[in-house]
Amino acid sequence: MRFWVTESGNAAPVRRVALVGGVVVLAGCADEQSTLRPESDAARSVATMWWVMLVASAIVVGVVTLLVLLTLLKRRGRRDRVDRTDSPGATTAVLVSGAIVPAVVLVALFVYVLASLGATSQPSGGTAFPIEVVGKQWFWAVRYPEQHIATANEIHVPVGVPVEVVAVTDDVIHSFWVPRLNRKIDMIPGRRNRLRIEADRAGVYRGQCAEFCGLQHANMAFYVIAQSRRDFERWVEREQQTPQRGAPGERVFVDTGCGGCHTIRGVSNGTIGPDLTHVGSRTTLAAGTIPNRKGYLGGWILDPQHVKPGNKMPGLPLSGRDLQELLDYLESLR
Amino acid sequence: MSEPLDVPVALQRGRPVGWWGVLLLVATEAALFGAMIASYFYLRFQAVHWPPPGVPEPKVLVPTLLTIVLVCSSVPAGAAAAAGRRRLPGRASTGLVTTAALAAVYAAGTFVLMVQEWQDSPATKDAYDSLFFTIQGAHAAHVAAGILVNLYLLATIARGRISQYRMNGIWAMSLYWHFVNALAVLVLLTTVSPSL
Amino acid sequence: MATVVARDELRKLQATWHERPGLKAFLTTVDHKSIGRRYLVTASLFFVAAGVEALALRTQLAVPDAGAIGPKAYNQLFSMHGVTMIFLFVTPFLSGFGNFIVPLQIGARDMAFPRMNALSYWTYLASGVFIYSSFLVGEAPNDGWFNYTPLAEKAFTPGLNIDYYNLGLLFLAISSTVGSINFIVTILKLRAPGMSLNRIPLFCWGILAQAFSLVFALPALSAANIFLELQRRFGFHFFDHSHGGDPLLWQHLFWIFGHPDVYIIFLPAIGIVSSVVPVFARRSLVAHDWLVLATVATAFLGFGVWVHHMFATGLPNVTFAFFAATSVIIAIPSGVQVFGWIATILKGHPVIRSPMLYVLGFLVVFVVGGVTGVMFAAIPFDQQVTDSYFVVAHFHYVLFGGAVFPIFAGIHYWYPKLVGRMLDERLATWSFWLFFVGFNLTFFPMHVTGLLGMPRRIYTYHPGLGWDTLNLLSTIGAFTLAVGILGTMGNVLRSARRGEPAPDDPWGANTLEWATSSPPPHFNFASIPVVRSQDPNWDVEDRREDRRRLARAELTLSEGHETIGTSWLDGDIEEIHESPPESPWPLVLTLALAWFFTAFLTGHWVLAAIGIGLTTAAVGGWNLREPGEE
Ligand code: HEA
Ligand code: HEA
Ligand code: HEC
Ligand code: CUA
Ligand SMILES: [Cu+2]
Repeated sequence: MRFWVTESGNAAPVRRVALVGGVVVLAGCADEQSTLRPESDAARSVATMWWVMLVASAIVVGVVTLLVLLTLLKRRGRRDRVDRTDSPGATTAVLVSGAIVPAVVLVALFVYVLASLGATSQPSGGTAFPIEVVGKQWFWAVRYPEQHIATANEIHVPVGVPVEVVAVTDDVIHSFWVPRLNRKIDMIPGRRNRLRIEADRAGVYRGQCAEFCGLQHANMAFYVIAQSRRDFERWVEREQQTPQRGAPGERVFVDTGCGGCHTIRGVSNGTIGPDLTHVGSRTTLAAGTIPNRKGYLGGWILDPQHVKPGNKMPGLPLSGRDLQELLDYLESLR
Repeated sequence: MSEPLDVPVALQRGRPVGWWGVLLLVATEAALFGAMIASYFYLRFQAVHWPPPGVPEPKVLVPTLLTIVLVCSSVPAGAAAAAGRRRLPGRASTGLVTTAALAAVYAAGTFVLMVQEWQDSPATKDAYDSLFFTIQGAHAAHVAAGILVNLYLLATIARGRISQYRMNGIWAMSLYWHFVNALAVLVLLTTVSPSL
Repeated sequence: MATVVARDELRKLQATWHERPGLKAFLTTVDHKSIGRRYLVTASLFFVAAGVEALALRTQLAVPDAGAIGPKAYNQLFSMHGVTMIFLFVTPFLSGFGNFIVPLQIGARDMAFPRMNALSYWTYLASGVFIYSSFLVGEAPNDGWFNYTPLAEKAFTPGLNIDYYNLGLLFLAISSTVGSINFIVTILKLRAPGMSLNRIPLFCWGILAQAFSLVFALPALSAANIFLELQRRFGFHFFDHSHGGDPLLWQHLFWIFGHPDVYIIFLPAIGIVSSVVPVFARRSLVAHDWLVLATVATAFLGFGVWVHHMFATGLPNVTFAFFAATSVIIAIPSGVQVFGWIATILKGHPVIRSPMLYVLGFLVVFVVGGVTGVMFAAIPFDQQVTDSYFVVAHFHYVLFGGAVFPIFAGIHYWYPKLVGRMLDERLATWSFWLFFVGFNLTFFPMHVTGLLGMPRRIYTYHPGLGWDTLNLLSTIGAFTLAVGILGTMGNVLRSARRGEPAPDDPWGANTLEWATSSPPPHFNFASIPVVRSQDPNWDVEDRREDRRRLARAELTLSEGHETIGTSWLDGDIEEIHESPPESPWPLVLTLALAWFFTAFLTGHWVLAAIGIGLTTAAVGGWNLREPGEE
């Protein structure tokens, strides 16, 4: 089962799709995170490089394997006989095949690498559209400095526009990696690393933390959602709206202390956990760990440690009614 | 091949294996200090202010004088080794005592300085201080160990006889001292570099 | 007449070098052969431990969303798997071969510093036990074998986990440093007369290159460990940005050690390959001098590539380009070696026995690992696949393929010399094929899982990302591999009692360890052999001359624990080297050190200070009596 379906050729993301069966909780389409299904110039240049190197390597491995098999065909020797002659011819052959030919191949490779650096490296100009992504144990806080939007674990980007991801961290080292869009970049305390992503087509691209960052490194995924310019602008507008006040769940949210860790614009401004201002519009919860559906959400709030052992949100006691109200409220935050 | 091989007994043309061992020990210790000093400059060139604001500049005069005293100990250490090779226990002892005494002056002076500096700004304050004290402390520990080795050797030749084994010991020790002294200069240059 | 002299000399040697069996000899022995065997046995136990940890990892990863092992245990298991395999298995196992084989190959009677040799074994054992005791308190190292800061700082890993890591590795560093110095001095100063530099066997070159690399690389790791421990325990600052430190300092220090370390593992291992190839090709090595040069060049170049582990950190591209260039250059010495071995076999007349099977297997799998290594030098490609399973595939192909395959070749090759019995060849062949197939089935699919985007060090993954089948294959492969290894272990244990008795030289080999009996006597050689070529054991006439020399009581040095000291370049006789007899002090010193590290770990500073005192006292006691006295 998959989270995302495409809408009549236009790959805009759609709401969650119904879950089938109990065991399979979360899944994507088979190549969602594959380096071999590039959807940008940068990722394509790396994939091409891989195929080129694969061919060259296959030749090297093939030759060596062949020679090894050839040794099996040689006439067998005897324990009491050895050949101690010098063999300058063989030595030359060794140097040619082991040093000179590889040197030529390696120089070619190196030149090729230098020529491709530009495609994947930090942008030099300031024309790209900036998004700040903050790695935290174990989720991603996302800020759009020019649009004044904050969200988490889902990064909406316009198609065909170079986006400059400013990759920073709040705690340990994480690594931002969306294989289908570009190579990865580490998030290191004290540094502001940059990575350009530019999706060719609308679609949903899975990313995952690639630097070991502790207990829940495994469940630190995210999605990049590339949309047409129009869809993207519509999304921005909606995100900029402040949620309606006064729902009964809002009181539960504040009284239970959720606001100490979470921001809901206009309601609370905690920064330990993800921004929940529009949590209802997201597709997954807890950095790709579970789908964002009422049942899962309830399970998460009551016992986050069961869902994602070791994560930084404590389980909080809630009466059945409070929970219902809270869930309704959170779901309404679209 | 049939010419009989004569092995001259107890002939030693090369340096003893113990000396080679200490040479390699010195090499690996040099790499250790190299790593620490490299860390110092690595952080220094990333910092805007070095030392950081609020931390006094390192003192120069007294540490330099102390280092000069220590470096002088290479002379008696070398003399002790030479005397050891000629099996002259008296001269070797004098060399060992003088070396240890000079080193002790250095160690005591450095200790006092470090206590003062710790009061001004302790190692736990920031990376600058941490490196300053770690490098200084590591070097001081080497000097202290050297003093102990010297006194130990002194005791072993107190009976007025220098065996081959002890001679090799003194020889190897002198190599160690030259290293510790060269290191002292490097450590000094590193730690006072912000004031230069 | 002549035989009487010979018998007399042998009796004297026997009496001098004999160690009365029993507990006392067990605790005080300095015989390099006993120590070598101990290294091998201890390292094998750590191999089993790390292998079982790996099987646990593979079990958890067999299917998506598995619940066999939670994240806390998984992180400790993969970290301990890496730490154990690298630090407590491969390196010490190769030191075990080094200990046993090096003095024999160079025609010496022991290592240059036999008591130091015992010390390096005991400290290895003690540090291994120290690190493993962390499982008892449930706080084993858990931040990976390279233990990046700031994750490894107290704020993020508050338990004892990382203290075990730092202190354990510092403890182990004593063992490695002492051992390396010993190997270097032994190989440079105690070679048989006539064994000039260009006649040193390639295995010894491998050990020599390893030892030199350790001497210069290990201090970087030790400095990092000391810094981190000071930061964790006493609030110093080295790696935390908030106080002027830098997390990347850790990465630099670690990899300045870490990359040379992979060649520290690799070079002695391919030394084994260079030992096995000429013997079973029935031909002296083609391009011998080039292979020596390649070994030395690899060790040197290995110091200049470390940043290729940091390509994703966002450092400037010029820096990366430099390290990418050095990383491709390092492929050239490996190429020379690979084709040197192949040319030797092709020019010779191979005898395919189990050691040779492992060597041929090695050639194929190592090249696969080598070419993926070169791919990482392609900066953008590395930035794409670093920290994914593609890297896991690479390093198992080079570590397992490039070091464990040769180690297994070495086990099958030297077993007769070590134990005095032959292995069962049929069982060996079966085990090899399981091993070979299992290995490839485990690690080949990981290339693909990595390309499909699977990061390493994750304890679980969701289904449907295309990783499921491949992971299951890897798990099946791992268990197949385990059966193959079990086969070899069974063979080794069974043949120790039931194997056919081994002749002195079952393979018709070219190096001196085969010139003495299997297993060798305590004094190794009755008359120190005199060497005149690169393949001394193929100089039949020279070896006859050794025996004649014994009958003339020449070079027998039967007056005490003596061996020949030679000049490092030409191997000319320089001195008679006195070798100390058994001693309890190495063990005592180790216990004093263990006291210190344990007290430090548990934060008992007074006890730790006492530990330093005990250590000093033990060093003093060690040297109180001169080896000659007694
Ligand atoms: C025995 C151990 C060993 C060996 C021998 C090697 C050999 C090499 N390694 Fe590997 N490496 C590791 C152990 C080893 N490595 C480990 C443990 C890690 C990961 C650590 C971690 O992250 O946990 C690692 C990771 C690693 C990285 C970082 C990857 C990453 O984390 O992103 C890189 C990058 O450049 C690299 C490169 C190389 C290269 C260029 C070689 C070369 O030496 C290979 C040379 C050999 C050949 C190329 C084959 C023979 C040559 C020919 C047949 C000639 C013809 C060939 C050509 C023309 C190509 N290695
Ligand atoms: C020499 C080094 C070496 C060797 C030989 C191995 C051997 C194996 N490794 Fe190794 N591995 C590393 C070095 C090594 N590894 C390193 C350095 C890391 C990185 C750690 C880190 O990220 O910090 C790593 C990481 C690593 C991972 C990645 C973990 C992760 O990122 O989450 C995996 C996953 O499959 C793995 C699997 C295996 C397997 C299945 C074997 C098998 O080949 C093991 C086979 C051996 C045995 C099985 C033992 C002997 C057999 C028996 C005793 C039989 C009897 C027992 C039973 C049948 C129960 N290893
Ligand atoms: C001590 C801090 C803390 C408190 C209190 C807290 N949370 Fe959280 N919450 C977090 C953290 C941290 C995460 C991110 C967990 C992760 O993914 O690793 C999180 C995640 C979530 C998410 C998933 C968000 C997403 O987009 O993935 C929801 C929903 C949520 N919390 C709701 C609540 C509610 C409702 C309460 C109160 C009943 C609450 N939280 C109380 C820290 C807290
Ligand atoms: Cu964040 Cu791994
Ligand atoms: Cu490397």
